[in-house]
Amino acid sequence: MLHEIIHVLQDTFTGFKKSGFALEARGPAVEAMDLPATLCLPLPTSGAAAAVSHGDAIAPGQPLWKRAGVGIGPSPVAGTAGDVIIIPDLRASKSTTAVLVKVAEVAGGAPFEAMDPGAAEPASILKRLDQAGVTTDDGRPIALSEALRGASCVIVLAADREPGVSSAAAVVAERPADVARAARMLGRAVGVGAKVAVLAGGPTISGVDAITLPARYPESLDPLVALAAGGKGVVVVGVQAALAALDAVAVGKVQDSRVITVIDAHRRPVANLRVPLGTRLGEVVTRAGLEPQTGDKLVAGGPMRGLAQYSGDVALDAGVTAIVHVAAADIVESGDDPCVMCGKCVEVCPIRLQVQLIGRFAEFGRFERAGDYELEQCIKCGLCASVCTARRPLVQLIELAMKQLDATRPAAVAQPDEAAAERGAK
Amino acid sequence: MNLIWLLALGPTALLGAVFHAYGRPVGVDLDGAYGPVNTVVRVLTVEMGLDSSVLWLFGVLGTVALGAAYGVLAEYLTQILLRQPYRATDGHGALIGLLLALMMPPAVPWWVLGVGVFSGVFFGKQVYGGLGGYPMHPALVGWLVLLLSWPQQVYAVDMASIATPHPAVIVATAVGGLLLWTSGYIRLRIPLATLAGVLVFAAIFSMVPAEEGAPEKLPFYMELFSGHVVLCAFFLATDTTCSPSNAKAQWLFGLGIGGLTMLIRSFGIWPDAIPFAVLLMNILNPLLDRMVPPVRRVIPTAEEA
Repeated sequence: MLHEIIHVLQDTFTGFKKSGFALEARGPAVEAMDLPATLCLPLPTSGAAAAVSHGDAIAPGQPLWKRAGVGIGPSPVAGTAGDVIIIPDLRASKSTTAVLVKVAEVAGGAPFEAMDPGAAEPASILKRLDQAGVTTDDGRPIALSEALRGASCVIVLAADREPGVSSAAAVVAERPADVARAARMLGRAVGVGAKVAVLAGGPTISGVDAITLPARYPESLDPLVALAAGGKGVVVVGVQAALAALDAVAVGKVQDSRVITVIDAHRRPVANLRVPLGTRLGEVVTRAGLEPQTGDKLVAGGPMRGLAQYSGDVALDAGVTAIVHVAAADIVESGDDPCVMCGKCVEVCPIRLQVQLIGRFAEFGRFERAGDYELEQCIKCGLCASVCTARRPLVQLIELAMKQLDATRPAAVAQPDEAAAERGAK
Repeated sequence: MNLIWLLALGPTALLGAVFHAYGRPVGVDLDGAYGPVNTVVRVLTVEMGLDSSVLWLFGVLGTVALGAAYGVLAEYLTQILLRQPYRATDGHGALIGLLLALMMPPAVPWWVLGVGVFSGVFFGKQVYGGLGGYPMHPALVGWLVLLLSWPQQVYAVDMASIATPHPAVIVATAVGGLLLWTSGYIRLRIPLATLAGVLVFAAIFSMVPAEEGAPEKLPFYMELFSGHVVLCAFFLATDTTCSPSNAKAQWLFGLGIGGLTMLIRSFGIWPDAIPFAVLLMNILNPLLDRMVPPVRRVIPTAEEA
């Protein structure tokens, strides 16, 4: 009782601060994580089948999957193929297939020939990106060449997308000159201009034009970066994807790792680990020294948009740049409480949606009315749900409405193929 | 969450109680109004020799506590009756009862307060589905029922004291309102707009020449401190369910309340006009909330791609 009174008194004088989540400009230096004995490499895109079987020798760069006759999903290591297994999907309540690769004692060399990123032909750059399996680094990975298609401008985001995450910042600190090289290379590959996006007050990148973003979530999310860059057709590429692309061309290596910020239950970043792709979540948790208890959450992705995992067997792919450990006591449950129309969600929404109305219509199944409020512009930043007085699951309500509307009318939104297939398949 | 609201009203209730005692004319008929409470107070004042102002303190605190209790009971009973999920423990019913009690004179009969709170909670809130569903402030709906049914009980003292409450009551209410703001439960747009509206329209209407024989009006800036203006501005107009969610709409909402208050007070028959103004603007709320800024289009639609 005394505890509650003290909390109430504290809230009385601190509650009016605006909720602004700061983005990190710096973080712990990148630490390498050793290759596990076995990598678990998941299906890169739907509609593919395994191209190897148990016992096959694997060379680095060898495609592990086949889709419509084309080899995709190159192996990042030399080794021996193990079983093709079923593992939980990182982002959906379904399972996915994965190939186990037992890593060889002796590492193979870079499988592809080094090219000069400043001089190579655009077509061969794009081809190399596919050969090396370079993908985007935010959400479900899609092939980078696919994401760049039709771009009018390429922006390399040299900053983290979520508060508390510093993997991008650490990577930029490691090799700032390469960020500019990568940006220029990607611009050349598509035949358009390239820029870099940096945070206000953070480190600058020289050698390429820069746009400055406010160091506040959600200003570094891709749709808002594209908006800041102005113009249609702007494609935003994360710095880790861009550097993987640079390495694929300049060094000739397959995309084989991501730097992941591990955040502990006290909301502190434990480390920025360079995690080999195909490492299981459980292995990273052990390496980082997190000790999750029963009832805690392990979130793959940042604190705002990440998804809690129910199994440590899930394999980390190229779309994960943070892992957050949430203690059971800190978990805030959403419920079915009614909207009190306080308007905090409306105040905080970066897109200026009428979130309270969309949420209420979705709650009562009136999806057509929800659709009248342009909900397809939602960037799923999660700020509305984080400030909601009634703890309503607003992001889920908006997604529910989007899915229902997609089912009943033609797609309102232009999506890259993979994401559209993703939404259609569920 | 509701503890904050109750705490915020604490200074109001306490100082209101103390200064009601000194600011109001004594002379309410004890025997008519209180019954058992009466006896206890008589013991305290006559036999133990405490000041008779303790009656008022007792009356106000008793009224306030009674109002809160009625509110919880009303919510609980109507939720059973209407087969709604039980949410009486969230304290919103208690808040409605408490607010209504603060708008009543301390000598209001206990059954009058009960009818007011029950009708406010039932007709003002629960029939619309509860939290988030009601178009008008439930405490004001209850107040309206009482005003129109038992005008003598609601205005048990003369109009003059409605017009000029003790300044400490105003200050205490404003402090409570600011505490609500610092805790993040309200935004200051509606209270500031309401007070500004009262001030501006009072100034405008004070320029209208008075009729022959009409009672002398207050200086326009004193209108801010009369009736329930400050209480309504901070505690009643800001109820989130029946006020707009968008910023521009909130400013207009507050200004509308201020303007309507002065209009009714200057040219209508009700000196305590602000509850009417709030109710009228509550009804206009959905219309005002259509004033929204344009959506930032960041995701290209299929046509644009």
